[in-house]
Amino acid sequence: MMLPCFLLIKTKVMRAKIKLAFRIVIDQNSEMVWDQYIFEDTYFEYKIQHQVFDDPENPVKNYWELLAKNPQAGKMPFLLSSAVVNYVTQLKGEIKSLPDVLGNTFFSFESFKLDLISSNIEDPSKHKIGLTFYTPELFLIDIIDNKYLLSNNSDNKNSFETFMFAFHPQVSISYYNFPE
Amino acid sequence: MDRKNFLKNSLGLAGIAVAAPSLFRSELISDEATINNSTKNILSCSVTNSETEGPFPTHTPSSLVQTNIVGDRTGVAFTMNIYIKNTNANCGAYQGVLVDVWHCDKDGNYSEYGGTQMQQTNYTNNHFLRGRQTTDANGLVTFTSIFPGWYQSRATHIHVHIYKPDGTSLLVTQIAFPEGTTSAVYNVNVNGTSYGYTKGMTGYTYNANDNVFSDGTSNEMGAVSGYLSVGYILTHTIYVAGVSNLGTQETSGNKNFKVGQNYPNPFRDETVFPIVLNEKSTVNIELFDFSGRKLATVISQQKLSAGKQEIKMSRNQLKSGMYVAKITIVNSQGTFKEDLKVLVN
Repeated sequence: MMLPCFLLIKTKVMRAKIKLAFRIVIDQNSEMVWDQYIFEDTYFEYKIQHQVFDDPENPVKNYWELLAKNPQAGKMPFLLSSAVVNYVTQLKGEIKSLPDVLGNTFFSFESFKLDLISSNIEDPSKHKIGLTFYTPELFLIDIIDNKYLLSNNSDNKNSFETFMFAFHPQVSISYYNFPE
Repeated sequence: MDRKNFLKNSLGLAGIAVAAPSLFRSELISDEATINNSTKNILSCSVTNSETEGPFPTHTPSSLVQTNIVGDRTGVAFTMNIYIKNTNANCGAYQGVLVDVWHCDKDGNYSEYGGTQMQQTNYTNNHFLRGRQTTDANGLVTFTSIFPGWYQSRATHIHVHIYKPDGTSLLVTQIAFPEGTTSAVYNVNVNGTSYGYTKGMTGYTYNANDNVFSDGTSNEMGAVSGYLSVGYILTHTIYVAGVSNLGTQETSGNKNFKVGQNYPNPFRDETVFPIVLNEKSTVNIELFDFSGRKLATVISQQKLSAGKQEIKMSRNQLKSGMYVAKITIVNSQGTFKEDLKVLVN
């Protein structure tokens, strides 16, 4: 079973620059306090901004309807992100629930993006947002036993300080820079 | 999703990830072995939930709530003083309403996500030239910004959205800028190259040709004073139909209609009273001045069917000023009266 992996390490070293992305979905059923604050504030912001893009003569309630009638409403995710920025700042650039294998280095991020899955000005249960956090550029050295072997140091040297992150269902490689 | 399905679905992701570093040599591995191995990994991964929380989250306001909205932009200094007045309270200062402003930078760009691209900038300064303030006892909000540039097909403008603390919209409008060779718009765009304004006035859309302002800017024109070297100050008053202090609603049954504020208000030539009726009703609208003198009958004992009705009133000989429209609705639920404050420009 271990043989193919072992062969891989021998035959191919990856050494690419990557960014990892981690996405969560927040809705009315979210239980963590941080998530609930974001739910309340983004929903309030949605109801405010919906009125900016809606047609008073022929109003709609759902985000998808608003988007169909007024493409300008595509700015909505960005506008809602203003209600989230100060909560993201509280995380101090780390997702504490995503530790590395040793448990003392955490998933670090330098940017985030909000996506609006759905919303409705009268039905809060339809308000669902996604938040995606992006790491800074990391040096991917290899994947061993379903774990990313990573380094913050991308200088072209032969020895690195490294750390390992296990695969996670909500973590994806979002950027890949082929090695030269 | 039950646990079994979760494992099965997650396995799909893990399976792919395993295959990639093996250079797609997964055929060397029996299916059984892969499943066992991956399951183990998923189980150890499932300890981690999807929360992002650090310790002690605190409730914080939107990043829009700020007086200085310059962000990382540069340009000629610009202060906006915007007064909000309530036409339903004798046009007095409207305290406690929220005012959002947003405008473009010197190059004509707005703060927003760049298309489908990932936001590359630091998350702390994604926003610029957008702000939110609550009006003080004078109905005033102030923003520190930079003088807006312009972009194709639009005259220089500031977007404003005024709404009640509960988020209900009162007005979405724009502020126009004076034009001419002595104006701030001209001075900044023609003489402001050292501040980064490089477009000049060639190709500029003047208010008369602007699709928002071409119907007249008397309501929307801001007053701009100052000099290029010290910056400019915009002062503007916006009238909104806010919470009424008339409140003379009389009901003798369950209210089964909705009378909206007339629009536009203030108006110059014609205004519309939007009324939504749940059932066929007899409607009366009469216009009074503030001394209680009846000036006009807009509609008299008119039978209107259920649905949205729009009753138009033209200015006729009305002078500029404030009036009260008394609306009476009679239907199977009773007799209802509502008053609206109407402004003529």
